[in-house]
Amino acid sequence: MAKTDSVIAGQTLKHLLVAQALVLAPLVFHIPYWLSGLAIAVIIWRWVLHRGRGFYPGKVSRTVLALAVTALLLLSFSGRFGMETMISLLAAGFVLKLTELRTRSHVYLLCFLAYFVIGTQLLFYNQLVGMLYSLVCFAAVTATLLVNQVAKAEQDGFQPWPRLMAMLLQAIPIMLVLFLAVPRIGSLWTVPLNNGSGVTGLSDSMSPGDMANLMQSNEVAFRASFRGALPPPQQRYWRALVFDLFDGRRWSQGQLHDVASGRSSIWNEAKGQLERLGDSIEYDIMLEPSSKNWLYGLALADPLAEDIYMSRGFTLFQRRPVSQRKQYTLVSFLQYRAQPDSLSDRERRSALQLPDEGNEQTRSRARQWAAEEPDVQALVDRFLAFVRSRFHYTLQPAVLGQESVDEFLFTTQAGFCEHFAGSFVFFMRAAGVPARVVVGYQGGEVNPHEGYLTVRQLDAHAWAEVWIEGLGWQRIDPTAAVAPQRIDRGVEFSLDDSDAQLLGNAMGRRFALWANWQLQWDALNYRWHRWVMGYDADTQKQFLSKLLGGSASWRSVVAVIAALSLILLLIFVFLFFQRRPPVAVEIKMYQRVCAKLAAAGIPRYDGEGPRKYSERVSRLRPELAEDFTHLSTLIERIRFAGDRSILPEFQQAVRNFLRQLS
Amino acid sequence: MLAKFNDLKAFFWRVTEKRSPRAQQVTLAHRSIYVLPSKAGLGFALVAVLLWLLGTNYENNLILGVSFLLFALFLVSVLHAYRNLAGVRLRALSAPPGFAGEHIELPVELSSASGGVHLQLQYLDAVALRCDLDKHRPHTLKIPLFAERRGWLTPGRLLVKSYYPLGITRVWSWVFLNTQVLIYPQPKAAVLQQPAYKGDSGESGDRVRADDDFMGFSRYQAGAPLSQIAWKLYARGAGLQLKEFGAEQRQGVWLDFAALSGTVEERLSGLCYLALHWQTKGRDFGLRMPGVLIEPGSGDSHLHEVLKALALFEGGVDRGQDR
Repeated sequence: MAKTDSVIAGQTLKHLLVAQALVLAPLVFHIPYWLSGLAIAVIIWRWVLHRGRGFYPGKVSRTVLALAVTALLLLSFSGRFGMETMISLLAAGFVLKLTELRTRSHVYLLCFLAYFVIGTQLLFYNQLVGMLYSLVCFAAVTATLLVNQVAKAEQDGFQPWPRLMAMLLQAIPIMLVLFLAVPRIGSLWTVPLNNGSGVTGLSDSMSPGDMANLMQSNEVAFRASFRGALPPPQQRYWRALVFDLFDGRRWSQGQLHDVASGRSSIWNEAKGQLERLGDSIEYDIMLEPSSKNWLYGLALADPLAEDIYMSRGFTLFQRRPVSQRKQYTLVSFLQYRAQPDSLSDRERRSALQLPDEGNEQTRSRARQWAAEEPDVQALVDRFLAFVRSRFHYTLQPAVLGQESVDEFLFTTQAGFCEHFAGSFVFFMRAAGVPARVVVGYQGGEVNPHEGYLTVRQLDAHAWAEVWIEGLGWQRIDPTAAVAPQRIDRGVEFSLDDSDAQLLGNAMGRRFALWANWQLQWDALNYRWHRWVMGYDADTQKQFLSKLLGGSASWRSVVAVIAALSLILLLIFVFLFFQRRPPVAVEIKMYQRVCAKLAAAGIPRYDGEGPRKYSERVSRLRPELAEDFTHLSTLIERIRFAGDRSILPEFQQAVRNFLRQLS
Repeated sequence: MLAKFNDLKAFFWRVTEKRSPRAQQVTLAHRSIYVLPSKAGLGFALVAVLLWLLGTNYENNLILGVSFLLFALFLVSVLHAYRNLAGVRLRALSAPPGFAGEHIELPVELSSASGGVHLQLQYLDAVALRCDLDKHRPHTLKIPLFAERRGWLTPGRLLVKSYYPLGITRVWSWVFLNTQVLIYPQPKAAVLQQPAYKGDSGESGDRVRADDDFMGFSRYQAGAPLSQIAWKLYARGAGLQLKEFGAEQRQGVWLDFAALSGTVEERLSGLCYLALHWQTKGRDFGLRMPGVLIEPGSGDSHLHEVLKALALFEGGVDRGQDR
């Protein structure tokens, strides 16, 4: 930076304002709306100011503005402090800095802030599109820095893009080497991302109507790619939570199963009581950020990672909410016996819990059937047969009153998975059979391009488990009894037209072309997340040791240094040995004349100008003087005065002279 | 301590000067080009580190990617910064002579065979001049120099620097151009101690002006010698008037070193003033100094001859500007 700092050039300002608008645009949904408005106003104001209207605010008004914005921010977030608060503060500083932008050196700070804001964009938008957009922003900010260095920018006459593109293209291979090889260290501190509120997904309780709401969302919950063959559709039960507490209307997690609580009672002490039968299925799950701490696994899954735990209810969870897309590997067994031998008193109590009163009709019917069918399996079959014969599966059930189970089982007899599962568990408990509700997802759409399963919110499902001595917890899905196609083919094939309208992807699956395009796009994103976003410490270790033939750290250090040196060398060669520009025609002709004269004994010295040379030639060969002086004058005019109109005259003079010389 | 530091500084500049030899025309090459991160470059690196922390903490590979891209851009930027200055040619053009105590302009022609060069030229602590070089189109910058003493002025090191491409690298080179500018003594109003020619101007007896016959009065102009002011008129309340002396060309005036008092430099300044004075009056004048005799004459080249003799009188050869 020069000691005396010069005023920012118009072209630099233009680039800066555009870059700033681009960088801030995606944050609109994450900062308060008034701040976005302020940003737009300030950017426009700064441009108007540049055009010669308006005035710079004084120090006092700038300070007042900054204090006002800070106060408003604190008010907007009302004391909550998370990532969004920090980003809003950052954005506010970024915008307000513009009010004191005057000189070239101010541009640096703004551009560096812009780079940082690009980083925060990517916290929220980490899909492929997000990355491409952030690259555009990155280029715009870098262009601003570039323009800022060029004197011509004052006359608006600089074209930054060729140089910029060259630099970015050269930087990308270096970036890739660093990306692949620089070790990944885990999280250092925790600041919640505040964006939990907007996420749709399973909640930690279930009352009538919750699931039907979820059906209206086409958002992806997670994707699963299997190492071997896909499990058949009717086996695709993705277990998430166990609900064992019923208050008469709402099912929720009791003390034994509340995985968000962090209580020691949720830990699975019964690992020894789990018998895994049949073949194992290994698969990777890529979970979308859910802001919840539970995870999904097929049937009954064993985690392979150290930071994933199995709960007492054989569900999976981790300690922290999933705030970023998460990838993990599981091994599942479709056949298993979970706790076949015994339940502890506490577990049995929780699996038989019922409200003290209410739904008396169901209770008496359950007692009656239990007396008639002493065998649990027979009781279950009888209930399912009852459901199959009378019930109707719909997304728009009648509203249930206080005695919801009674009304559903004996009056409306139409409902959705949560009604079927909840009523079934209530009935079984009333009959004295330990039972519980399990929620998660059921199904998944196979992506024909990549072969993975996409599980969306509309695949949310609730089913039940009963405990049978010797067999352990058995999955019973009463919904399958009333709507088997729900399980085999997916929810959209099990509903009539008026219900199907409610589904989140109502349009998507009806138009084949659109659906196919969606699948391809999804496949592309999946690959992106799997290979780019999912490149974590483990993948890195595997990749590097495969590539370098060993996992010793010196190997990667040497490899990185070698790769970087090679790339830099190539860039260096590219920069300094670019093809020489073609020599102008007049220079070629003049050189021919000089060569001829050299052959005649009067070589042109290094650095001897045309005039000096012609004087010398005239002295030594007076007979050539007139023509050669003329020729020399012409070349001087062409080269130094840039007068190319006399080129034909010069060519004629050269021809004449050569003829004369030979 | 300070002396040691100064020794070190002197040594540094000796080495630097050796690496970039004096020449009329200098082409910047790797021997004399230096690259380091600029202050802004440190800020840039800080942003990269912060983004790395952010990406690491949220285990977000894209943010890590941006951080790595910044680092990569830094490396690439160093190469581009170097390429920007490498091959730039500087040529000192001849500068017109100036007077001591004034700023003169040294024209330097810059050119580059590759084009797309953006640089700044700075002399000592003066303001840096920005310029863009296109392919095969030389660009002339006029560097302001302060001429401290009379004699030959050899400009000290010129700083050619550039923050191109992104402002995060500082690439620079010190250039010692082998050129010299003639600096005339600083003109200072003076009177000759002895009359060069007889002729009464009617002024106070012992201080006789070296001027010619009295011709009339004219309005006072700033800078006119006090002795030329018509004090009698002033006393009568007629304002400041200057006595005009005969502009008629009769005989040459002799500017005589011996006829002035004061130190050598004061006398040279006085002679310089008088030479300029007579030049504007259109009178012939000659110069008489120990070891120098220039016959009376007139015209620009005569003036230059006289002033040059004054500039170079007795060790007027400058040893260059302070480093």
